[in-house]
Amino acid sequence: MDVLKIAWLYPDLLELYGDRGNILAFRHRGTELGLDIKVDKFGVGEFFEAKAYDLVFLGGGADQDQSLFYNDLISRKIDFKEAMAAGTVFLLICGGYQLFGEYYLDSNGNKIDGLGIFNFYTIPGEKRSIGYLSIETEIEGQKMVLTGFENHRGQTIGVDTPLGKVLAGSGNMVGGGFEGFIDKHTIGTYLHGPLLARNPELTDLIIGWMCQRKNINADFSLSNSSSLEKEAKKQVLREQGLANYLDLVK
Amino acid sequence: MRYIALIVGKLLKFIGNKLDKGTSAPGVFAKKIDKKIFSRITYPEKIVVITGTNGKTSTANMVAKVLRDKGLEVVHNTKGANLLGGLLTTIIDHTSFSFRITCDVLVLEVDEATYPAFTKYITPSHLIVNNFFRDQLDRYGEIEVLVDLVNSGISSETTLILNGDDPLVRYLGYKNSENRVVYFGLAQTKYSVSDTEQVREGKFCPVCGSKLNYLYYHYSQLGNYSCSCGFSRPVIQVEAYDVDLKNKEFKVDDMIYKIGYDNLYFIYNSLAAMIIGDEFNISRELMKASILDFKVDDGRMENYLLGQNKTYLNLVKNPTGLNQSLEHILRQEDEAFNIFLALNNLAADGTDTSWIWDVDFEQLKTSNINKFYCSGLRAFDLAVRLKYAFIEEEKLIVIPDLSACIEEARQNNNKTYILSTYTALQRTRRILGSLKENGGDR
Repeated sequence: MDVLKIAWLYPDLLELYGDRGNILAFRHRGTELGLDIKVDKFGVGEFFEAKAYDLVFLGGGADQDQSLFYNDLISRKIDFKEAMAAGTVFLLICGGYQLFGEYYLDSNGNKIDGLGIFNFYTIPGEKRSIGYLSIETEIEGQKMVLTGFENHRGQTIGVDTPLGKVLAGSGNMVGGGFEGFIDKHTIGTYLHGPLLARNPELTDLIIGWMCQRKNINADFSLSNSSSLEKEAKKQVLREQGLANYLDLVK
Repeated sequence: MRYIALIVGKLLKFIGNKLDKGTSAPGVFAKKIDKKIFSRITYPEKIVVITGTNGKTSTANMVAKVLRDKGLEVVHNTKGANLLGGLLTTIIDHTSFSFRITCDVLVLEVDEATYPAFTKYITPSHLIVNNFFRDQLDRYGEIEVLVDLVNSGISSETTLILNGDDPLVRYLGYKNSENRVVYFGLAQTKYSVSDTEQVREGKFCPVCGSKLNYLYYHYSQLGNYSCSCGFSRPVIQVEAYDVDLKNKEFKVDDMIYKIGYDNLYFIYNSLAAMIIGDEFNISRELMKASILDFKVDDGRMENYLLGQNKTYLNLVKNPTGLNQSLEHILRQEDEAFNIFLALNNLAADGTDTSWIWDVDFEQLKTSNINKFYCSGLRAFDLAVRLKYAFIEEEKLIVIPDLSACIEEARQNNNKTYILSTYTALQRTRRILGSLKENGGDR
């Protein structure tokens, strides 16, 4: 059986809103596709090499907790850059997403340097954006509608290549109209919680990238149906008055 | 002015009772008319407040029962009226025109986030804190913020009665070391585990931020913890041991206590009530009888019939509560049964359903569950969660409409456990009550 390896960073700290749902989604979909998904967890001070992994995952966390892993994360910058160049996929949620930019200003006005791998930055908004967030995106020619929940105060500015266009909710900036970040095989987003369970087409796209890195031929047509996921997503779209996007849920 | 405020408040409460609604408006209006009204009232010397995430209502009810069984007169807020408006209404309702609440003890359950606002008006003689679990992050924000909020409302005059097994609750004792503090907790039991996959708060020391070491866990983050900085589970004054859930009993200070429910959180609630009993010099013998006699009500394993079979209805609102309910069900059932989950995402339930991904549904995949009924506004979210726990899709019945889903489960020949979030619970209760087998006409 072909093996795909996932590194899950700081799972004890970054797991605020059911982010482990994404790991469960990889496991479940991997099993359907006949792939062995291996997940290794890494905490502060635990050595690992990102480039030895097919995917690196960072979830969202509480603001106060960021100081507990900050130095550790910053020390991994060179490894991360090399891994990205070598095709490792990065999936970054919320706080994880913000820290890959230049810096963020916390609500007390302290400037905290990020990894600086990408040139966006984050400042505090006037109030938290809390609620369902739906976006429209096109990745590698595939049109998708992604839904999820956002709960963040940070406003991320200077994103040249957003993940998608906001249909309902705030996204990167209140009133800015765009959400998240995508660059090659790195995705950053405020869609927290079980993003991949809610959007199985994104799961397949990401597993496809991981397979590409390993030259594995997975047959995605062999899939079980994802009718439950689709119905769950349609429910959110209907509630948000986005019924005209139901056709995009395939 | 203060008389007008009191009269208007009482009048609104009277009208509200007639209309069967309005628990917060009377208190809010009275305060609008006379800003200082709540400072003008003479309160009883003893005011017991209960806060924390899970078990507030049950603990408050048990404290009230222990006190009443001793013959003390208790004024007590009704379930759910634990936000500022509801609390003020309870107070207005029981205040005489001599601006006095005439009772021996005021027992109030108070919402965690409301505690500092509440203590601007009233200083409790005793504060019980049960636990802090993640709950409705869309409303409360992060859990550390909530702990700090409660802490900011604590007066040095208040005796703290704290669950020493929860590091986040213990932290309140650490921060208020000048206060009188009494701890309750459970010694290691046969149900304790050395590791747990259940997502926990307080994995890190609230004092220094290092990872806590655990000798054992009871559930979630409750257990025996310590940190290299010296922060640890404190000496427990009222500690239960020899816990036996099968025989529904536990021991404290060489005495056996029998209980009507076989779960650990019921024991925690009992221990907190016992400390209040000690404070009022009630004999442990008398408390023993009160605890055995105590019946939890409202959304805590309510009993109904569904078709030919018994069914139980239980309120669930966060991962820890749902994990505890599932473990409890799995402990008692050898025969095939059904699980019925009802998930709504209205404001009172929490609008973000991501929390179901922190529930250990994986523990259900090997058990003898016949069908999983998924219902409520977010029925499909539940079904997806169960699918990703590797539960066979043939076992999943997804019907968002509660009435239709209950009718479907009614046709099944096995016993059904219904676990429901707040707003779906009330509808489910009405539907069950309307069935012929429960004396209705449907």
